[in-house]
Amino acid sequence: MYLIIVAYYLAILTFYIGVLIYSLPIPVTSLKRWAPRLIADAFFVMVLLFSISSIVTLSNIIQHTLGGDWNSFLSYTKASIAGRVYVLMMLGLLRDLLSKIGFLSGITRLVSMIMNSIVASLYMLLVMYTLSVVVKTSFWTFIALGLALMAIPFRIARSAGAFLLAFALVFNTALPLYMQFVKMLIFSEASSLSGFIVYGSVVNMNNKSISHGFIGLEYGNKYIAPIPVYSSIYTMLVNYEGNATLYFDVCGHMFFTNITNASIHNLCRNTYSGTTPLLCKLNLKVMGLIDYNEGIALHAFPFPSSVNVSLFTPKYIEVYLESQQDFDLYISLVDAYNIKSLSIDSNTIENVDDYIKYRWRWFDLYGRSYVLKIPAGMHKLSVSLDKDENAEVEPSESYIYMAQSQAMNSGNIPNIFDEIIRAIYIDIVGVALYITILFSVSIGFAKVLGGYAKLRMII
Amino acid sequence: MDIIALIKDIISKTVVVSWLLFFLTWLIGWAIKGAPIPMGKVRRIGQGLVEDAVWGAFWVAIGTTIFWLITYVSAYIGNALPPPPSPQLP
Repeated sequence: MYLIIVAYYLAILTFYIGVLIYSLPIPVTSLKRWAPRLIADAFFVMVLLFSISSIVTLSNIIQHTLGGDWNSFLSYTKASIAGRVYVLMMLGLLRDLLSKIGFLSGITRLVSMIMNSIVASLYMLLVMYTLSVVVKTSFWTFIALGLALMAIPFRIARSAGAFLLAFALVFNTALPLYMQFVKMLIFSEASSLSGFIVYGSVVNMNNKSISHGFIGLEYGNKYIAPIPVYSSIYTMLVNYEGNATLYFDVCGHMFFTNITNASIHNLCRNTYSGTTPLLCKLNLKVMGLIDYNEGIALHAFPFPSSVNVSLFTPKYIEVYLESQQDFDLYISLVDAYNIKSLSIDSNTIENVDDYIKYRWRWFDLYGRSYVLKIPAGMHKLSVSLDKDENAEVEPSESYIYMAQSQAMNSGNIPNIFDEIIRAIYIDIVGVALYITILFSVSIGFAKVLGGYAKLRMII
Repeated sequence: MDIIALIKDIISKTVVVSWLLFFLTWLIGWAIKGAPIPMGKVRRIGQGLVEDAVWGAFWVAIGTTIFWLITYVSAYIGNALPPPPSPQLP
């Protein structure tokens, strides 16, 4: 607003400078020619200044008529970025797996090539996303700055101002129409991946985040696991409409979560109104689990009222627990670990192996669970562990890859190739093409705004 | 100094200077036109100066009104900007 007022006064100044030149007693034609020009400039900028809100409203009307919408455009771009990242993660797993088994190095190279093109498309999408965020957040700044530059007397920065104005107007109107532009190109949206991407944070019953672990998805009579959790965030593709259950699947235990026998499709539709989103956030609360790290799970039943994990490493664990009732504390370890010492409130427990209640199998790993009866009150648990460096503590990548490709569903495999071609063809070519078109439109529009030879009044 | 105040200051100075210059140009114009020099070219310069001076005076006098009109019309369609400065003529 400040810049608009500056532009307003600058326009008035331009007008009076024109008048001053009119009344100069110097009979030089080239100087006198500036007088009507400056007066016309001032009126032009003035009219532009006062009709700018109407112009913006008009551009919004045009945008809505053509079917553009900033929010859906931004969420579409974000979902496309997330989709590329997801495909990249999967292909990365596949490539690592193939190079690990040393199977046909040519295929590994092919996968790398596809990954490179997807990375390029990711860059293009990020460029477009950044540009759209810049245009959306500083639209009025651009407009006001452009007007202020145009209003400077003697046309010093008129073309720069006109370009800024045209850039803001064109990009604000036309960037959200990118989806319509993509639909115009050969591949239609309908051939993209069916289903949508679900992501979210993972916390325990005390709302402390669980930074690492694995998720399992059960629907119909199928069970898909392990889907990894990185930095407390899980991501997976869901293309199933019926009821499903999400588990936190670690150390041979399947912990229930807050999403149990619920339709993820409907949950996602509720968070966004109207259309089914491509990207959906669902936070998971894991029942019973205190924390998990590299093949060590600590869980309790009934769950204590307060849990404070002060240290949780593969070497040493220190946890403070507080409960109003007696509870069972479970320590589940894969066989790569051995307990060196276990103590509760500085009472060291001898013969730790007596506390092994049961043994379990977790994909390709075996392990056991220790169960300790803890009385009500405040307690400190400390465990020090010994780890066999050569043994695996988590399921191998082949299981993770299997789960990911299962989640994509075999019926979707042709669609994955469509998606790759789409990524190469549309996101690299399409984004660059669209941004270039918009830039040339802005330049043309700027020439109209800044050069207005035909708009000049007869003075 | 605030940039708006600066521009306002320049506007009022410009108006005063152009108003005074109008008188000066008008006088010089008539002086040249009425001078006993029998040359059509010089007389035409004088004529041009008088015409320009009159145009300048016209725009100074009418400018404030036109800005007021533009502000009024735009306020009618929903814009809100401060009223234009009304420069004091000497």
